Amino acid sequence: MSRKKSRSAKTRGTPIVLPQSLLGSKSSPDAGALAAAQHKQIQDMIDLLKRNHLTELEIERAGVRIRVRHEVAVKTVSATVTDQGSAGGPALSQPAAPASVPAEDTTGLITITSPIVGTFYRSPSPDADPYVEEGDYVKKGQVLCIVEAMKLMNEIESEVDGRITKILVESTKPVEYGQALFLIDPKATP
Amino acid sequence: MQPSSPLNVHSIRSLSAAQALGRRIELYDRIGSTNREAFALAQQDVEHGTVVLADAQTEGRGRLARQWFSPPGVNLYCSVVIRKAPGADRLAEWLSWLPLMTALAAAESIETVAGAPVLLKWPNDLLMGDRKIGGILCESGQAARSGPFQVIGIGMNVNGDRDDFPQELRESATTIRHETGRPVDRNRLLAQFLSELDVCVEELARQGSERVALAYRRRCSTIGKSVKATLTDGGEFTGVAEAVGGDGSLTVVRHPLPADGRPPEIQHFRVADIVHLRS
Repeated sequence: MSRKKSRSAKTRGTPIVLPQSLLGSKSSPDAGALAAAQHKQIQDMIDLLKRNHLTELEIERAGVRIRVRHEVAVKTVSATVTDQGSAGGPALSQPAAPASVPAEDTTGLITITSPIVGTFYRSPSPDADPYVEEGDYVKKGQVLCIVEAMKLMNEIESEVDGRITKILVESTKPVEYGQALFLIDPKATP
Repeated sequence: MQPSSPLNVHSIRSLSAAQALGRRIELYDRIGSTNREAFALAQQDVEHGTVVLADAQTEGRGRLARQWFSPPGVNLYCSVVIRKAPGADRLAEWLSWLPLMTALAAAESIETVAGAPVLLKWPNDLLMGDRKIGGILCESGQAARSGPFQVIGIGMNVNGDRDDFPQELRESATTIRHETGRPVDRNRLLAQFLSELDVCVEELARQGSERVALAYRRRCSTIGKSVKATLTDGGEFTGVAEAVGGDGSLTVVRHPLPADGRPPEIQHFRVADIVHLRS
């Protein structure tokens, strides 16, 4: 695979074997606006810089010189992105938490939250019945919903025995990391 | 339908270089769904790398319970139990990249064995030309005793005829043999896939997503293309796919650009059906 490259060139001053894509074509490039391909080349350079723990990388080819610098004090080079244009940062910038951490609020209800940014589903498939309805009694470990991200379907389970008092999100809607999905009354008994 | 050499566990093991994946392989002539079986086994605490493989599926399924065409004797239907999830601080990264990385491993293995180019459509569709030759469905769950696990499911259309697909799939699906004109040894293809996936899983678990992301971006044919994204709630967004982010999301810039020079709308998708538009 292409990513199995030598990782030996970690120290400054050592020549790095650059992927061919970084060097571009031999024909004279347009020195004007950045083409999409050049944009990708710069992104590749940034990745290369980070991967090899370098502080500076400069490439000159057919009259075009690109220099990428990495301030050591700064942890990451690339900017982070927000998710689906809505509020909240991307999954990676947030401290991830185990699924459905139970959090008891002042009313004594347990809040089940989403462990990832994704899409909320109340049923295993569009035509199937919902896993749970408001008013249902659930057991610890019972599946309450699915949150999908990147075609990975995450089953979210209840961490407590109790009764679903509120379902806070509509099926197929996007959810944020840590967003409340269900309220469960742990004191209720069937 | 063309005959294809039978699936054979010893053959797969002898051809595979995988350390962990495939140490245990459960081979079925016919099964409901390999993902469902692997999920059930994971809940019963089977070891990391356990593979469920079937010659045919009666209830093969994809995302949102869409049916996966699973005739006997010609294709690969395979699910792998993964128990390598890192701690809470890197869990989101792990879950985000696992499905994308699986597509990377599959694309590499198909190219190696079939000797023909494979396009990778974000997040994890495998295409030859503009038709689908493979799909991936990952699931994540929790076992009472052995804790969190993931199941990686993959279906590859290997040696069938395109005419065998149901009418509604013929325009969007194809097989490796149809595209290359040569049948492929399914045992060899699966062994190659397990070998590639084994390396990727170790890399993602130990080093994080950096190198996996770099390799994925090189491979992903969606970047730079005009696309239409259909969201789960039915909404649509048309634009140019500019990048795959550090969290695996797809950045799409709305096109056409606003005529009054205002900045264009930009979306970062984590869940969407993407269609590559001809432009």
